Amino acid sequence: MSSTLHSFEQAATRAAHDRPQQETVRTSLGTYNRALNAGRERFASWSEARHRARAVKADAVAHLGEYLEQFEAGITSRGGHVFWAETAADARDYILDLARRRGVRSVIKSKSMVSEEVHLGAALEGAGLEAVESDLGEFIVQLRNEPPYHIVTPAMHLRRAQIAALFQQKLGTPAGADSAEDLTMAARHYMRARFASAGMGITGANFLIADAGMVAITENEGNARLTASLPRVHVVLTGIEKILPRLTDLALFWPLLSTAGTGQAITCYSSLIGGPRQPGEADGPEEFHVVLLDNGRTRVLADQERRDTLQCIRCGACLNVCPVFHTIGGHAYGTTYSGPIGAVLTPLLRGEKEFGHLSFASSLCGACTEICPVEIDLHHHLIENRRDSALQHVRPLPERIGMRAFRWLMSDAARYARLAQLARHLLRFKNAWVPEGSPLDLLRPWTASRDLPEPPRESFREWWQRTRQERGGHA
Amino acid sequence: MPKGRDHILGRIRAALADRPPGGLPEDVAGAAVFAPVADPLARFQAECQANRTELHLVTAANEADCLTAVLAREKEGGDGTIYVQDAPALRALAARLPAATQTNLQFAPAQPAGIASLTLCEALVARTGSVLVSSRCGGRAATILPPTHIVYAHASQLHAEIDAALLAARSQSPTASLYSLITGPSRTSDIEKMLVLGAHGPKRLTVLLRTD
Amino acid sequence: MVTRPRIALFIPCFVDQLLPQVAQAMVRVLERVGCQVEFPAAQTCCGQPAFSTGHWAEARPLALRFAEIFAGPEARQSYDAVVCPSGSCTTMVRNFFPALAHGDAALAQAIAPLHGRVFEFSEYLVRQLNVRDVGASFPYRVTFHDGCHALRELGLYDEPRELLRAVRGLELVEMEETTECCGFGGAFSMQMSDISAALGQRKAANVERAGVDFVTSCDPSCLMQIGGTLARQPGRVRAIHLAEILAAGLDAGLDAGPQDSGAERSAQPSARTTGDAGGARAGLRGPRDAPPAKRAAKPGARAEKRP
Repeated sequence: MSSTLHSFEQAATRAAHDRPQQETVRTSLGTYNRALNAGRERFASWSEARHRARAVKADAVAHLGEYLEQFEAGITSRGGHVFWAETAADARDYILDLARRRGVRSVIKSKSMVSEEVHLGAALEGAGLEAVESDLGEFIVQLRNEPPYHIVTPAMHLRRAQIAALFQQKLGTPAGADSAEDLTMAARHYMRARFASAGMGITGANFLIADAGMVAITENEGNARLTASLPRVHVVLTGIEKILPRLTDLALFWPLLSTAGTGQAITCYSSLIGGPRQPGEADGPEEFHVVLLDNGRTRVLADQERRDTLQCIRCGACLNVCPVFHTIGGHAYGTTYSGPIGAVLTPLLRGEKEFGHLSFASSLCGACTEICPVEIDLHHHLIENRRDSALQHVRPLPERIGMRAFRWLMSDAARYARLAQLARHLLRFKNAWVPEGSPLDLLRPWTASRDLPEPPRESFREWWQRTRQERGGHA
Repeated sequence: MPKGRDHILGRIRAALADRPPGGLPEDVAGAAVFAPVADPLARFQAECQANRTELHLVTAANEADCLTAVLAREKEGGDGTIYVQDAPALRALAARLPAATQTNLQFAPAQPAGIASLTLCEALVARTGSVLVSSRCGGRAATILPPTHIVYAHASQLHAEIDAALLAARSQSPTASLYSLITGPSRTSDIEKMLVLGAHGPKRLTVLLRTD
Repeated sequence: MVTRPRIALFIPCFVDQLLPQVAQAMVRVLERVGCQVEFPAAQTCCGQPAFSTGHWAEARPLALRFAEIFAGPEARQSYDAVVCPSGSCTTMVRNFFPALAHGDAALAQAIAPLHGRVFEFSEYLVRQLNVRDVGASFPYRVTFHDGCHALRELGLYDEPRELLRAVRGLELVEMEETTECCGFGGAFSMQMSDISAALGQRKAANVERAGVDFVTSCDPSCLMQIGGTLARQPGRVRAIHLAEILAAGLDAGLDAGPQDSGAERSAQPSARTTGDAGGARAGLRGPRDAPPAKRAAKPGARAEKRP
């Protein structure tokens, strides 16, 4: 068993039994659910919005090369730089090299899941740079030295008291200052100086607007605006799939993203950045760099079945509605992207062999597909991922043998009926003689927590044959 | 470095060799998706109330008094200075403030941020109760760093929809390096999903809207 | 609409073997509303366990077999429709057989006649026969759990509820999170059993909080999960399939007396609805009569108990 799978199984099992943690997560999501429902009501037709969004994103993906070139031309026309990073290492190297050449000693970051994906934080630290996360949730988990719990709400697994204790310990906030407002102000105060003193600001991007040649960044706190305004150098780190064809598409996507993500009509700051400070502008970075990351995305692009996964706008809604996410939380997945999108995408980006198990950690309920604002067929993609795992012979041998036996059994009705009858008798025997939940109980995974129906003496087909034959009907 | 570009574009071309269908729908945020805004000004007022933007409808006669009253409430110290975007309309307005008011036409982010900034905007959006600024409205930092941001706008700048506002801004200030659609004061819900107003951006957003 | 529609019964393998009373109830209801039902005995399994776990090579031959039995030339002549008491098995045939047939011309051709002929039970009654009142009587408080396949793949939500509302004496109560997954998920229930159990417990808690006598669904697999979980908890709620409710009180005939008043409802639901003479008496496990005790290791103890 690979160590990734082993870690996952341990983490998932632990989390599945952690009721208090599940309560914290569910309480947070209860607020989200109410806001989401209210948010959807603001649309004349939420389903039409999703439908159009899918069409726009499908077009963006279908013409990705042209749109990326158009975007690049806009950025470079204003003096910005565009770097095309094939791998995570290419992205890290470019940023570190840039920091070194510009004499940068400290970096301030706003939220970027791609920076997690390429493990930028560790690289910056390794190069002796001080790197601070300015988004409140990201800052909190950075202080705790743990990854984000959720792609939109990084600290949703923590209670206020835990955050207050953390700030007291790490920032020296007074013991009594433990309201959400106090803690937010403490973070604001801490971050102020760092925005001003950082030599480089690194942000993510929510969208890359092709026709305007601009980067769109969505936030509530204002930290991304500050990250993009005060430091001398501004770097945007983004996946190549973030393209939106037209500026006017934002009139749909801004409300769509904020509704699905947090239930808001629109987030506080929806910004567009097209380059460094321009002639005649009062302030702004001297340099502007956009790092476009591939890192496996072109492989997903080539996959006709699951190409639509690249339509994802990283709203986090699928995580919010996923019963598995509710139960095991974001950390147990052990990957940058968790929840349904993570379970679909990670095996595609990183390989079925190491990450295929994520696609099996699902009851295939379909709530993710139902909520996705760009209509990605998420839960069906999980089955396709499972198919690929089977084809690559990654599945455990007992399962493969079991499925062959299952096919053999079900290929002949008389065989099935006979053996099933035998199995029923065995089950009754087991129920009578083998203590439920004991090591001898082969059905322990079920019976440890649930009863099984008592096997009947007569199956339906046996009953039918007996009673209908009596009536003279034919079987 | 161009090597990466060629490789990635080459892989994209190869990946899309099956020519998946595209096609962009028109009017993506049209009436089928969002019910049209019947009365933009009323909608703007309602949305501002909901998102906690402090909105004052003013005329030439009362605008100075209104601004004075707004500034008098600002408690957060700094150096007591109000940064005023260097535009004729704002200089004229600032000139009518009480003599003791310290104003500054040069925004220096490294200095204490002062108590407020006073800027113009590119457009207003009725649907969401938003203010669209650009880096031409006093710079990038002026509309995000001070504890209070005061916007001086005219009702003729009000658009019903986001796309119209964006197009207007791009047409008015085509070379701006930043545009930002601002909806209320900064906020966060990262702590137990409890809403806190005033995160890293301004804690208060005030709009003086000339209706005459 | 054909008079006396001829129905081919599609009975999921686990219903056949473990929950035959569900199928028997469906037969009674279909015959009551005027259908002629047949059970093609050659059927075995639709192949979903192999499909859902990605073993499509094992699922394809079973899909082919199913298509030959239910949609071969003879079948098409003999039956007007195929009806199944399971949302998830119906989904397999309707929504997932085409995925299996992708790139397999023989299978694609074989399954083509299934199109428009395969229905889930409540769907068939309401959408095909336009029937909501089958003459059933079930004087209890009942909540409905929306199985994920029935809800999201087949688009069923109103249909089961319309049927339940027409049942005499039945009080339909909506619980919280009706559309949240019960955690069964097929192989998931065994392979990721800790997560599955946690979800089952959440669902069971919602059922209990609804203050009902029974929880019902169109999906026997969900009911095994929910009923099996409820059986381990104090409380008296039992799991029962929609078909069993609709078959309840049918012997009394459509002209049965006035609806049961509240007073006639017993405090403890002692009536079992598997009234069939020759049928099995096993059921979806309900709560024990005694408070749940630690499992005795004593052999033979379980043989004494009858649900």
